[in-house]
Amino acid sequence: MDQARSADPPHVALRDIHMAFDDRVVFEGLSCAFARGRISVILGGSGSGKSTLLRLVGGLVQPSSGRIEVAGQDITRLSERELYAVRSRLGMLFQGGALLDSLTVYDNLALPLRQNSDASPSEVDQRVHERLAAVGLAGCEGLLPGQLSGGMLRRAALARAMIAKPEILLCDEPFSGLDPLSLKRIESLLAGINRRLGTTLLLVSHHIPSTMRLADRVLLLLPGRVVQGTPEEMLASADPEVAGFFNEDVEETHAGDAAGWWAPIERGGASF
Amino acid sequence: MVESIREIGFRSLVVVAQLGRILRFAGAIVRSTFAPPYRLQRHLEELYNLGVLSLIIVCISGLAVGMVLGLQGYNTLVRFGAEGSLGAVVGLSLIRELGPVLSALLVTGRAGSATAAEIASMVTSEQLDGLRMMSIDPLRFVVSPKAVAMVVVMPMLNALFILCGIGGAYLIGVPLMGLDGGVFASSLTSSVRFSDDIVGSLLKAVVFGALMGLIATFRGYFSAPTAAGVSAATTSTVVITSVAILIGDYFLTALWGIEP
Repeated sequence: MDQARSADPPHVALRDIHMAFDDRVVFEGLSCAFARGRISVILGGSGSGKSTLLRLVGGLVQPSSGRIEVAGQDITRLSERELYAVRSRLGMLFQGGALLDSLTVYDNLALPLRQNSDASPSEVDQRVHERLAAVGLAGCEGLLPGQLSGGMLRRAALARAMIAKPEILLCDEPFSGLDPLSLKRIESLLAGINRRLGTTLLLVSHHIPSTMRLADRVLLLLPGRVVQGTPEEMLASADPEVAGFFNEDVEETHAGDAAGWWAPIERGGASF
Repeated sequence: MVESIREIGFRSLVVVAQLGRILRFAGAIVRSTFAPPYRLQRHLEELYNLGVLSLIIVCISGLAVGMVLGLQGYNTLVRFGAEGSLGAVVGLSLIRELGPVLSALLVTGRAGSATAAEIASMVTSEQLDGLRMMSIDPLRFVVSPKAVAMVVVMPMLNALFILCGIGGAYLIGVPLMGLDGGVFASSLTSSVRFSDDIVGSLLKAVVFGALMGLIATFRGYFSAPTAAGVSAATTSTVVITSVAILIGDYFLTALWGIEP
């Protein structure tokens, strides 16, 4: 249960990662792997390094030592320019959306296609409209990000993250601050992306019910160690720290009724 | 005593390291500006944001400064019977010093602070990281067009400030004080030299624009990703750029403006 075991090489792997921000140590010898085409959820307490782990995979921050492999390629020694080639395989959904304030929703989605591809204006137009329709935002092309609700903003950001059809989608807190309906919709979209496109999903979340419904594998960052397994294995764990982490959340969110909330969601619901 | 020396040494090292970072940043901006493919649209947008939107403040300020110069100059010169030199006094003051310095300070307050705040808020809201994740270089897409626009618009805004200033002085000197318009104009044209005065003025404006573009984008780009970080980037941009402009003005005047 401590490490993912698979015959296939992992899509993303971190090996013996050491990292610190000034005096604060974040990772000391972190090793973990994420399988291709699976949904992996990264859990942990505040300050445990969940978002930093995603940023390491995206090459946005560099470790002090260790090796990060994306599709078999070590990205830790790449220049920023070389990283751009790697990032063409990655999409990232930021917690706040990270859409450019000054551009409309349409231009935000069109931007990566215009900048990085030879797509004609009509192809760009078609792709943008397809993606917006897939996330239920048809008709919102001319709005600015500031005019969108939290749920709409998250969906627009998801559409932008998927516009270039990445192999790997990194999601930083995709469910935070959403009402139940928006949350279900994002869940359904993420499940649809994984199922229909085969995209590998790495999710960081504090929202255990949603992520447990989605997860194929769960990685729990605990002080000084990592525990990895299926949602069922994590819930059944006799490890007091693991049990404490999950039981606390079960009690807080569902008054102890754990049987229903981690049941897998309907994966065919999303039309992405 | 030893502690004080150590503190001075530490602070000196911080300053040197910061200067090194600024120079590397400037090099990166230059490289990203001249590397193809060229995105003219982004540069035109920034020219509009930084230049066209600063027109009103520059024109009004230039006119006001020129009117004050006209009043003060006339009242001083008339004591010596030299009021006919008002055009020369106003023109040289505006072209050599007041135009480039005051227009640069005005644009720093409006466009420099706005640039730093915009980039810093993009850092805070992870928009720059979002660009990186889309394989779009933020230096090239965000920073370079803003920095280049400042270099390009400053000479034009400087020229406009000077023209408005001369117009303001003319309004005071000729219709109000009764000075002959031809005397004002001939005094102005005979005293201003293109190679020394006008080229020097435009050169100053280019240098001030470069300083402003570099400092504003640097402070924004390397700001802390918090609301306090945005505030600090904005404030420090205005303070550092204003001081840099005034110090730079002295050195440029010393190098360019001394008569042989």
